Amino acid sequence: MAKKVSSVIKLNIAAGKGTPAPPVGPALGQAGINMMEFLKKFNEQTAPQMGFTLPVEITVFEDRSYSFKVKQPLMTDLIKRAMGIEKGSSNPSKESAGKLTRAQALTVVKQKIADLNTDDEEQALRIVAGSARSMGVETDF
Amino acid sequence: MTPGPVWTKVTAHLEDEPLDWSVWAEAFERHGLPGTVQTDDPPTMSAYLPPGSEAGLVPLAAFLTARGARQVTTEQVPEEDWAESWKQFFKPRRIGGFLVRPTWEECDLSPGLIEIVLDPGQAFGTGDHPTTRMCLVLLEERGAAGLDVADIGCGSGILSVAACRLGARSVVGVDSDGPSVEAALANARRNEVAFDVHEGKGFEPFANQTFDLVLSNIISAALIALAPEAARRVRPGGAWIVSGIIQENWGDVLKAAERCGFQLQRKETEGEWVAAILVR
Repeated sequence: MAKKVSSVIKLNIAAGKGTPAPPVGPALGQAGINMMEFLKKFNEQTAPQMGFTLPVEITVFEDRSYSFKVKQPLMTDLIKRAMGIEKGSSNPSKESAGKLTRAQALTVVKQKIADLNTDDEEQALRIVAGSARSMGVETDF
Repeated sequence: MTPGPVWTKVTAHLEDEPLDWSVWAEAFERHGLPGTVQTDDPPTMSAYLPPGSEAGLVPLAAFLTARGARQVTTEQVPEEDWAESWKQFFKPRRIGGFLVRPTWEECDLSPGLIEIVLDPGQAFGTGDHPTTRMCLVLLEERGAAGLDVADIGCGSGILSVAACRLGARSVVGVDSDGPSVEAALANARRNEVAFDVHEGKGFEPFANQTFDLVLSNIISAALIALAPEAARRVRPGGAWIVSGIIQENWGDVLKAAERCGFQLQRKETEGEWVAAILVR
């Protein structure tokens, strides 16, 4: 096949706000792909999700052509959005940033499950609970 | 020379790949660094502290360690013009009788050379790859003056531009990839040539049109699948220039083409790649 993959670059970028500054610049400059073109497309495509940080996977081919796929927002962003909080606890091991209910967690699962390594809802809920706890959010499920 | 601004790359090395990476992105984000890079093997996540904000390193490193990072390392990265650095990979290059020049490079055109100006956008085809190079050489050899040409899988449009420049009567391109269609149309305008580009597969956009010359720099499997239709679309005495074939698949491509009535006129190889002119 003419399109041999030479690398896959995984970045998290604020929606609609990609710039050539790090981390995008050093990561894509090295791969030799047209960065401004990528950023223009990324920003255009993700502007409606402004406020979220989005994981993006860029597949670079041997001939330096590329394709990219934007995933659902970071799960931690979705948890914050579901709970209506700004950020996690500043000291996750000691202070709580609030409680995530099962119903709220389910909305996160619904949006994010396509990006997870499972299609089992219960298992996805456990992943959400784990991420919530590491950012200092309690769960009751 | 005074040293320029320096960014500090902070990398959290993890024990295992986490079930959810966002926990680590969030750790950087809450320290004012929403942009992160992830590697799966070994599992790491990094972000860059801007010049002058080194004071943020200690609390960030402490936070990452408390969250369970196996190790936190730093690296100094001098600032450069990242927006432009990728361009060093594309230089003007001479291919047969063509000079392929990226839009941002200036260079003198030697007499007798045909210039093709390209911005690859997101597409394939900078003349940088053996498959494109060989295709250009074979196209030039076969000639296109006065011919109706189709470019199946046109990518950046480099071959379509070349065919126009060689005096083709008409050129149509097709690509299944939307960004490639845009890039090809932009490259047509840039070179002041006119050809139609369609988003689609194979000959689908072209009703029952036939051609004197068909160019396909795609992949072996697609060429094999395309062969019967190519045989219907290439006029008797016309040619199909195929490229994008790796050596081990060449036999299968040739067999498929011969079964459909093509004959091998010329074969070109470079490294592991094969390109050929097939005639009807």
